[in-house]
Amino acid sequence: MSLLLEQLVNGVIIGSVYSLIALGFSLIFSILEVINFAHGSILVMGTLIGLVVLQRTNFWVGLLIAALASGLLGALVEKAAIYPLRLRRAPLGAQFISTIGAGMMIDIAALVIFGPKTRPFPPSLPATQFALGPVRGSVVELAILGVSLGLMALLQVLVNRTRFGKAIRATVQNPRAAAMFGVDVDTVNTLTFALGSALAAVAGMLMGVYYNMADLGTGFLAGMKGFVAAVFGGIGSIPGAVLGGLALGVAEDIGATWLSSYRDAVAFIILIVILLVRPQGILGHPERQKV
Amino acid sequence: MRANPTGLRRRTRAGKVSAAGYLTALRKGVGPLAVLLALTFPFLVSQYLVHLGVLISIYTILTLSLNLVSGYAGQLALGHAAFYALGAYASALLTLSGHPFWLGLLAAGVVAALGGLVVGLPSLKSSGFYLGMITLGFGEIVKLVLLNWDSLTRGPMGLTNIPPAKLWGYTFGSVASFYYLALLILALTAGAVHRLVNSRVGEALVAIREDEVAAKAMGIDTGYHKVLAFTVSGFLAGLAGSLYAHYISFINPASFGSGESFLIVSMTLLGGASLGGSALGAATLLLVPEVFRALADYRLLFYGAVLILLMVFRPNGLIPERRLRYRGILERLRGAEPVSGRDSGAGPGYRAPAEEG
Amino acid sequence: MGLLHIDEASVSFGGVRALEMVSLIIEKGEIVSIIGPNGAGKTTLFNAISGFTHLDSGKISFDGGDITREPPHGVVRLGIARTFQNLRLFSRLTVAENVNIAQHSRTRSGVWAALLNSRGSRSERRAVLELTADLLAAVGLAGQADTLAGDLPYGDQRRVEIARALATRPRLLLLDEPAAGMNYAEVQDLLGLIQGVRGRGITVAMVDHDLRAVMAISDRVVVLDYGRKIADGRPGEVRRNPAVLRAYLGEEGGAATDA
Repeated sequence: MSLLLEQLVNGVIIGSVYSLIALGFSLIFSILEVINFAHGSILVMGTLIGLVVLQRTNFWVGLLIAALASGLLGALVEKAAIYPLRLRRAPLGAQFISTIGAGMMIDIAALVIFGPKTRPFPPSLPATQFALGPVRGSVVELAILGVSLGLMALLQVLVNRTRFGKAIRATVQNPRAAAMFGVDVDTVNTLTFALGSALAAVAGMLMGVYYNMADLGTGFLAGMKGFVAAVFGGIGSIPGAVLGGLALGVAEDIGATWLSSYRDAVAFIILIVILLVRPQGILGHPERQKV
Repeated sequence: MRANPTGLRRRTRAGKVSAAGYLTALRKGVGPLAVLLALTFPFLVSQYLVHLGVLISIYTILTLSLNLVSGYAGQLALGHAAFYALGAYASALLTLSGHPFWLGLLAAGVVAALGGLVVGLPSLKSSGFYLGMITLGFGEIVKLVLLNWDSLTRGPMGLTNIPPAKLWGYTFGSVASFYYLALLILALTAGAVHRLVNSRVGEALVAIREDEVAAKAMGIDTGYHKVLAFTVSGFLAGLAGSLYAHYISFINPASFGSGESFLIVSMTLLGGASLGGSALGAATLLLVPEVFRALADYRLLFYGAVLILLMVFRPNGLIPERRLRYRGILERLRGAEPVSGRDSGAGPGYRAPAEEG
Repeated sequence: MGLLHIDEASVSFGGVRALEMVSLIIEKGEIVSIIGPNGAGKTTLFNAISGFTHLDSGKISFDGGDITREPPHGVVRLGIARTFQNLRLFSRLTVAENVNIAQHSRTRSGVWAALLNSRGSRSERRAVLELTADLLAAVGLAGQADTLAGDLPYGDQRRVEIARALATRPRLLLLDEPAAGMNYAEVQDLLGLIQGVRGRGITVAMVDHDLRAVMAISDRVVVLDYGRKIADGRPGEVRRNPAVLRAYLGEEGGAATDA
């Protein structure tokens, strides 16, 4: 398999995970117009909880519990660190700072509960390798891609076809009007936060099986990369988040061949360049529909 | 004691505290008392507390410098540890290769100011949390460079045996002597920040924070002033970095991560945009974990909770920026002597310049 | 030779023409009003003059110099001040601070002067405060110097905004709907204030919906409709211009006399 093709495949796989994280950012941003800085911390907490469950059951149960736990945590963050500020009409900057505070608290809680050690992820999916034409892959990689793409499709259906999705879209368009037409905006805010957080935990679990480990440090970086992916694609846009994640994954893999030790810097450089050159991202329309 | 804290706060911002005379008296007394205490500190307490005093001085410099950008100019900056790091490394590397401390200190400021200039440029096109994330990204890049540029920075091992500060042949070897050096630099920093924020430049920064469009309409070159704020802020943070390096004599990239940036942000927000606030913010967040030793491991938990509670209940910090009162001065200026060429009629006092040609 | 020349100025936003080939000359010392139905391009015109919006084509020159590409702060320095339709006071700062800040482009103390607290910067400070004192007295707000601008009643906020614009020492003052939200007595006060401004040799261009006020004070009235200039003349002429009547009656059903 040629190097470029291999980089492309690897990039797409890890990129699909970034997409999931980015989706969480984008969902929350499109509803609340705030960057949830605690996203990475929620991801780690969910992943570590999922890992404990996984060790006693199997990967899929672990995945489910991780998503549920993170969803709950996300709802809590919204209620504790966002809602009181919205009630007082605090500026968005203050809400952002408040999520930084929430992130710090979750980080420390995770440290106290799970300890500072890097935890190995037990091999929980079959290690079978296979070849598809010139592309070689493993079941793990297939599962990652399948879960990510499946969730993205599911999210698209959720937003476009369900009552909850309709409430979300109405809130994005105009929260006050939505409230007048009977949408419980507070609940939509909380549930969207929960949904975005659950996606982050799924991404965390997928990264766990991919790298065979999970630790506290991954949260910050994963959160930053998800944010970069979201901004890359155009924050607030679902297809943008997907595309941004994939693009970041590939860019990182290619960038790493030249700047091996600066792999993680690629994301930050992309971030700075994108925000300066095209702040609305690849697919973003500053004023158009956001979800 | 306070029946209506919200009302009181509003009055404070309006600058009408004089009604509550005891508060003014208290405020007037606190300043000189704090200075006296700061000067005699090493004679009064144990060496360990003096050590904490050094750290508080260093962090107050950092907090003051961040206040310039965030508190006054209103720009969200989450990568402040990068300037701190640039200063520490610049000063350490120079002195380790045999140059004098004063040169290291100066270079720390200049290198970090250049860093500030670079980070300030994005503020021309970006603002709000986007700018916050850019500055955070810059901070991470600086840390990655320090980690990976082995030949210069010795990577994660860091720099050891950094020589102590030495000025005019005197070595600041003891904790107490270094305390006075840190206090001196802090005093200079505080004086500089005080003069700056009360000047035409400081007015421009505040105008940008309050309403950038209106600031432009008032003739303020907003881009220039934002970059200027970042540059000066970088310079001051660089000084703090140099002090830290020569005090601890060991630095590595781990000391300057995003956690450090968030600590400085928390201190700044806690204190508010004022000199007293900066010192209070730095001291509180450094001392509380010391006082409650059992909590040491939970520091971030505490910082996090402080941030959320602050944003909910006191978004302008414990000691917010005070509004200067002008009424008396203005009345005296008008009363004293009618300035030449102006009548006292109802028309505006400014006359368009006479036609030229 | 007029003070401000606008030559065939065009601006469009995402395909919508906000200004189309508008040409206009403002003479030194006159009071010109620019009127027109909502969305006619009046504010866009002010934004273009003051450097907040760039022209797609056309040229603007002020006192003989090209200012088409001048940034807002440069325009202010050259002598054009403006107010905003939706008041943009620094509402959390005091009235005096608002007026002090506005003298930024007429002062020059930089970082070094501030750090050294130079004699120049101190005397400059005194001059700034003198002008602030005069301007606040002129608009009748000397007693409110230390009030937060946002705490003032609406009419007084308008006055602060005018004092603030005058503090930039303009030769041309652009007033964007200065009478919006004012009652009859307040409007009369305002008109007196504007006359006073002109009496000081400052040229005034204003946008407003209060046609009675506009007709009373203006030397000349310019009418915009859908981004085009459809009339330009003395108030009496413009009032009888059929194109103007059509634009107003068509748009607002004749209810255009009072905002």
